[in-house]
Amino acid sequence: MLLDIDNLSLTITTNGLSHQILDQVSLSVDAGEVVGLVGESGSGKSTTARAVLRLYPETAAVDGSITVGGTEVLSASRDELHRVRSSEAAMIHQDPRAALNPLRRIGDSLTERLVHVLGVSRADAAAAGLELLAAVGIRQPEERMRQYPHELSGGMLQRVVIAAALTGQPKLLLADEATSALDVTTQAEVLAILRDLQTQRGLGVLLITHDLHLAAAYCHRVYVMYRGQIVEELRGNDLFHGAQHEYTRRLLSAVPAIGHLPNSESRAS
Amino acid sequence: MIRAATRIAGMILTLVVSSFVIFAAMYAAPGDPVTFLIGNPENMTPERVAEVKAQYNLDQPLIVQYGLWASQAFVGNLGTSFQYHQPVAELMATRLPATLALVAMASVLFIVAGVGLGILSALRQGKRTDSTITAATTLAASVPSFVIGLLLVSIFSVQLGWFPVSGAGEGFLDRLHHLALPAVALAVGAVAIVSRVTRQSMVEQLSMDHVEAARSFGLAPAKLIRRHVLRNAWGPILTMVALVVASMLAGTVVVESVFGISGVGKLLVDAINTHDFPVVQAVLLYMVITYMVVTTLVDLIHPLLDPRIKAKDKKS
Amino acid sequence: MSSLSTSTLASTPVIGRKKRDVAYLLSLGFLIVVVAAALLAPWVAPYAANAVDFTAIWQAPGAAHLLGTDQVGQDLFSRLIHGARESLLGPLALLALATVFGVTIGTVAAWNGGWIDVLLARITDVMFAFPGLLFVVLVIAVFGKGPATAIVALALAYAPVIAKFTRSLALAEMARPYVDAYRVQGVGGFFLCVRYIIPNLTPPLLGYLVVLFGEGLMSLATLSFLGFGAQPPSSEWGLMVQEGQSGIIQGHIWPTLVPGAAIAAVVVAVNVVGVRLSDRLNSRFER
Repeated sequence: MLLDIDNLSLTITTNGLSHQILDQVSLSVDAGEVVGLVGESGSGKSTTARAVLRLYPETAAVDGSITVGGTEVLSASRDELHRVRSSEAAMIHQDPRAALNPLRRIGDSLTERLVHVLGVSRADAAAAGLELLAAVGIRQPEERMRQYPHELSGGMLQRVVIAAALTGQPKLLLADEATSALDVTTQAEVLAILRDLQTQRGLGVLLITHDLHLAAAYCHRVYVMYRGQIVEELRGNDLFHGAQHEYTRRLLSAVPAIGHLPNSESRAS
Repeated sequence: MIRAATRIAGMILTLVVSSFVIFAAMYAAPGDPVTFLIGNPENMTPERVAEVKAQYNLDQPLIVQYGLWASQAFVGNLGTSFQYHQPVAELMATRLPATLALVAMASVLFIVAGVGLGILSALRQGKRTDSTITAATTLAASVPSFVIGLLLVSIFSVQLGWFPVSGAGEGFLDRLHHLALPAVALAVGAVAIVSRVTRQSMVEQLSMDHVEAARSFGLAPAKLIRRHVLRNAWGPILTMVALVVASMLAGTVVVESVFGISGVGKLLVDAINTHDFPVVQAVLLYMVITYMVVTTLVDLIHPLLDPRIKAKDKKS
Repeated sequence: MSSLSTSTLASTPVIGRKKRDVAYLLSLGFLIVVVAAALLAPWVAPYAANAVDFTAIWQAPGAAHLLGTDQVGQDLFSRLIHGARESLLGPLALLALATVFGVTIGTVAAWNGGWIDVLLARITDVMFAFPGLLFVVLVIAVFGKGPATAIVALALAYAPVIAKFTRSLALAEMARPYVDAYRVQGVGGFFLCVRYIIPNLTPPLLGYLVVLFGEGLMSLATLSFLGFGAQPPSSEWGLMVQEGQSGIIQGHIWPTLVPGAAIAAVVVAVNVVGVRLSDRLNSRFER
């Protein structure tokens, strides 16, 4: 398994009050597999994904195990964690505009991981960046590299973010609502690019979304999350008729039925 | 460009109005301007009256008087001091170096200490270090600078004998030695303001998505702070630093009095006490101008730090 | 001139609630004691403010003189208590004056808009062009030194600041539906302002004024230290520091330290109370 989460529990204490955010979460993603994680907002999807890179407050109490490519993340040494973050797994954030430093040029953000984390020379990093920009379907990549985020459209920026995520040649992508901030057409384009990259490179993808149609059409397997727990695991194709759990059914019934195509006009929330 | 032009035009307009206020203030004084400008009735000799009338063109209408005064000031002729019988510009020129050196030293101190403590505070947000820094700097800012100055003199000059009691010193090292305590006294209050703004601005940036994104791909903490947090937090910090420096240029009066430094501030206090109005006007004018020039400059530099403002500017 | 704006230091979110409560109560208690001592000065002070005693000059704190004596043997504790009156009344008077002007101008500017509003904006612009206390220095240069000039000059400097603050509050208040409801019924603007709008502005304004009080106290003390404010034989705290200055070189720190610490302590206490007060009043105000 590329990613293996086993009985992960996470509790955050603020002002003396404890909130259990995750309760015995177990899931796995294999290489070349697209796995969906669906649920309403606040169900713990994002926290799960972030925990994979050990991105949670220092004050959080965490229990269980997360392994990425065989490395135990929760107890990883600094070097191990650094390796996981820089070249094993990469996160794609929801809002590309927020995920890129507005004061830095696209090229700078794109190659930051290569230059400042992996120690690649600027020239090599720029070449790799240009290649990746082309791979995510951005035209005139040289010019884009010199521009600032506010000069690009949201769809373009998300492609940049995806390209940036791939600079470390990770095996696992954590896509946290990676397309929900985009309009429908752009969303379809970006998803198509993501799919191409995934198959070409044999990536494992954990796709977090609240869009059930998207999850059903796009993912091999789907986990349904509710109040910090995984309540059901289904094959993507079975999401709409195979649901056993009461919550999944309620969630599905809240979606206007337009068929099972990745039609994103209907959102679960 | 348009933004810069309107900003500069605004500065000039405010400058004209404030210089007019400085000039016309003598008309607000009780009695006629001649009596006011001469001050001590014992000096009321015909020659003196003539001198005053000539210097201020008192026979002309007010607006003409102002025009003549302002145009003279513009070319560096700030009139003659009644007290020293010396051109005011010369007086100022001999006093400026001490004041500028003092402000420069104080600025280095408060910028290093303020920004440093602010960064530390932000990185230790919510912890003991953070609240200690906030409490200590706020407390220090509540002590008037003249009290701080006198305490410093008492401890480091009188008791320990490490620093001279007064004066500005000659030559570079001697000047550093003389101005060390005054610079500290001047800087202490500013540290609280700058550290607070730094902390605030950094805390804001720390919560940004792109900071977490950079952390998620393993950027080392020091680089993360430098490239993503500090780089983006500079705007408000720079503005506040400039504002403080600008008001320091006009705010050395107290510290110069405490430490007996013959700077521009001391000149102002002495001029008020000896009723030397040309000097008062000139010093106030200098202080208002430096303040406005510095603040305007920062406004103009600010967009260079943030490409987004530049873009907005181009569109407008 | 300390151009430090203590109002930018307001609100301390870092410190825990409990500690803040303790600090607030301590500060409040301290201020009550100071005010009481000022009011009861002739009865509380062990000596008269200007009781000279050449047999006991420059004494360190001790049984006979609680906080020591100055260069002519005046009891510092007694001078401090007597001086508290002027030191506290000064900022109070200046704030009262500035508030009357500021609130009136601010409300009128918000209500009428038009040329009054434009004029206010220009006046504040020019005021802000005079950094720190420079405007006050100009007024003193023209009208001469003395506590009254210092207070009026500072009031003139603070009025536009208060007016600007009031204006923004009043604009927000006027946007609330009840104002239109009354206007539709034909209720006059003046009545509405005095009866509803200004009273509703009071809570947030009060918190701001308390913080300004600390600033005013520092400014007035600074002016007195420079010799522009209170004049001898007053024992206003800033003036006390100035008079104590001569002893420093000879190693006598008490005549400076005592009034200096008093200024700092009161300013800190006022700020703590002010921040707490505006937090509380604002939360009630915003409901």
